[in-house]
Amino acid sequence: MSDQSTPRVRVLVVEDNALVRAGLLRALETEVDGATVGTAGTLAAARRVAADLNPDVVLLDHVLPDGGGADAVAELVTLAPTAAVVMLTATGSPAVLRTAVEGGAAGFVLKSSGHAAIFDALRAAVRGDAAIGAERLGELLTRAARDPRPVPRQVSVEDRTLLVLLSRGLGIAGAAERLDLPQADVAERVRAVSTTLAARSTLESLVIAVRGGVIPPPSAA
Amino acid sequence: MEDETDDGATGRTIRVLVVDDHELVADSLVRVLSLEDDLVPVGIAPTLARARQLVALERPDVVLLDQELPDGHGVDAIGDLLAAHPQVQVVMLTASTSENVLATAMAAGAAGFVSKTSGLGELVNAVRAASRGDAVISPELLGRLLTRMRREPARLGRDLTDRESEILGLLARGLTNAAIADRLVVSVHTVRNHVSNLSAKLGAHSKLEALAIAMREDLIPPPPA
Repeated sequence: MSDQSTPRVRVLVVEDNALVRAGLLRALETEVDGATVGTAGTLAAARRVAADLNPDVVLLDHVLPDGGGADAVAELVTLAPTAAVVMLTATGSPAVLRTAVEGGAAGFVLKSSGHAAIFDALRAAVRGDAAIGAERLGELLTRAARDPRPVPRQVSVEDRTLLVLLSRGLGIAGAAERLDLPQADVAERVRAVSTTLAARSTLESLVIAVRGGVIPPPSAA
Repeated sequence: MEDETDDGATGRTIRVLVVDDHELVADSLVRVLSLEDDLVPVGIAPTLARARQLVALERPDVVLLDQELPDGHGVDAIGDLLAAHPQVQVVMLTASTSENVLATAMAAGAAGFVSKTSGLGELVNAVRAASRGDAVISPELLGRLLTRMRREPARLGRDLTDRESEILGLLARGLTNAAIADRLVVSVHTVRNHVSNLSAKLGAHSKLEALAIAMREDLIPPPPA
């Protein structure tokens, strides 16, 4: 596939179904070049492997024998600060999404998806994109607008423009094209905005920006 | 255990069709199966309709069949799949199985059952065992099935109600429907309904056949003292 540009990406799969875990492991090793894959069937094991592997991306099932994946996102991001956490959820319920984003999750993928869609989400998260479908992103941000909270720091007009483009589901590549800037520069700016907003993912940046009134929710735009 | 079940050394390959609409599970099963040299996944069918097509086209040795599918229950398609390709072995993929589903699947000709939450070895062994024509069932499921069979011996007439048994006894003594109605203080219509129901339960097409079956199966209660 198209992963020569991200050599030796480190992936942690947290899933309690042994067959699904084994299948994902095998598929990731085969299809994502040079992927180093760790697996865990419980949150306890996930904490251990996250600390050892320092993954670039974590695929995290929500329903696990020792707790809810969404509740563990913040802890995993602390253990592996470079990790983008993508939640695997059966329902995509607003409560689960909210908890996970507030913990710093980078995105979501539905459990009914196949391997191809799941790997697309993982790649998006590694790129620094919000790994979430445009429609679900719109719902999430519309909900966030009803729960206003102040932002830690002011955001420049340029960065606001960038956040608005991302909030409409354009992604870094789409925003770069719109702004006529190199993708790498836009990716760097997205990271800088996340730092400004004290967010651990692009998705969390967007939620914080909407709650703080920095950008309007997509429906009002 | 591994050596006993490993058919890889013989060079024979086992072609496997996965029937499951849950893409993550289906994709994962295919990956897991393809790790084994002797197992060849031949496709994924997300519906029963597609499963029927692929069984006819691909002639797999083993079908892993989910129970809940968008166009019906897996157990109800076992007969069709066997008709399309009589050599196929159908293994039901069941997370938690009611005994009714177990019994229906076995009666329809399933080779066995394996849980979606089983380990890798268990799944692979199940596919290999089924391909050899062995029954595939975990000790836990087998225990439940045997308990059910002990509890409910599959004897003809065991599902007759007390009233139906009573009427059967009166019929055996030569009473007409009208006489029975008089005796039981019910309408002739009600007696006729009871006779019709008990005949159906005995698989009889007539009152006479019902009596013959009831005599053979020793279902006639003794006359009241």
